[in-house]
Amino acid sequence: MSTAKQQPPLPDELLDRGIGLLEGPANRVAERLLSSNIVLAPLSITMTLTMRVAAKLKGALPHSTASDARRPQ
Amino acid sequence: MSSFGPTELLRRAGAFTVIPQALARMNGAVTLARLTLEKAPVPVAPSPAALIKSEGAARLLRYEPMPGLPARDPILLCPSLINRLYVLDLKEGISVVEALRKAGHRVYGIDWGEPGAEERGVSFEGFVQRLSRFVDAACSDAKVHKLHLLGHCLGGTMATALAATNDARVQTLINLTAPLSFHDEGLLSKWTRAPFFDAEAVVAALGHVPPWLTQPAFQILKPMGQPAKALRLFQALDKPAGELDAFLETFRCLETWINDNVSIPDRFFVDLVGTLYRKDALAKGELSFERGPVKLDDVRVPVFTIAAAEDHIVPPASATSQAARFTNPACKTEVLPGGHIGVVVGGLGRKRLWPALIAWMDEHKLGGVA
Repeated sequence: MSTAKQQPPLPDELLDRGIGLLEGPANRVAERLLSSNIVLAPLSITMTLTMRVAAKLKGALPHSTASDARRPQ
Repeated sequence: MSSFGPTELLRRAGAFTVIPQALARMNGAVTLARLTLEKAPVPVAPSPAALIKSEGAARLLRYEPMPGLPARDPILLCPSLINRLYVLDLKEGISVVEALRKAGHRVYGIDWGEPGAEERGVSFEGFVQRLSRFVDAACSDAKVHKLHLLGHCLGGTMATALAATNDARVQTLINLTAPLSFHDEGLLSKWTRAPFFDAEAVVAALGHVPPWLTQPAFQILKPMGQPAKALRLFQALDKPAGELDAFLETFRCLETWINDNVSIPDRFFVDLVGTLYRKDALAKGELSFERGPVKLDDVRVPVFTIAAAEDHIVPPASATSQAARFTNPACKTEVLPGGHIGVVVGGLGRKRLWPALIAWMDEHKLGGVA
């Protein structure tokens, strides 16, 4: 038997390699990007500001008072 | 060589397989779409259970023992507060609960439930105390002084905090992919420690932190995970009819669990982000409860630490790096292949995790009970 016969059909092989590429190098690049402070700092500032505005709009802030009074139960 | 003949070239190009495969995958996709649209029942959490105690949204369940088996030690399963218990009882044949029951163990589990008014302002310490009361209730139901406590993910962090402060009811502790050191290389650790991130602001705006905020964050922890999952699903849809049904059932059970998250209780979230992740207080020995400090060096019971080698939520170092601080000489650590969930529900889980749990409890039997 030749080794060529053991190789899977090309479409299957491409699909396998595509998945490998996504889970390997592409994932690592995206992880590096998502863990850099250049990306995280603006995202977290935006989130924190949005949440503060939302809390102000909500008015009474019942949970922030609840968080002041810890309830170990 | 014949391998370069026209037949081989056509085969290599996929000429003989591409159409049957496409048809089979289309059939698989249509079947999956039909089951989803019809909202066909998903056979999750198959093990029968009775309610023993409830407190706020949380419930303590006792799984029915298998008849005709010699009784082995009781074990309490404490899942993460932000996930449903039934990841440990996913479906028939893929269930830690079932495996333990088949081995004769009396199995208890905590379903933390969707937090409501009674969980407002309850801290990490408050939930550890709630866990302690559930441990008491399970011991009393099983008529034993101690039981084995298995904590999964954050449930293991809580169980460790309990063992460090009050181990009177704990025979052994089993930490399954449980984070103890929170300063690791994982994305979750980096995000929660991001500059300017303010957990108090999130809680002030939202109260209990809802799944619509947390679930996408968990999905992006493996940034290419979703497209890769879609391709893997596409790849698997050309299975023969019988295999396809079993595959789709498991796939739907797992997706049901993944999409069935609960909110994170407000004060618990602030403690989780502020104290555990940002300050790494548990590993540094700076975590303190009302009754005193929570120190890992104070954990005296035997601890079985299990990590998953490809875990992107609780990296292996986060689960194992502190294990050397447990003082009992019987403590042991294993890193199993698989991811955070795969180690529990994957094929390897069945082959390695479940027997390892049963063997551990046999090694550390309750005196005079088992």
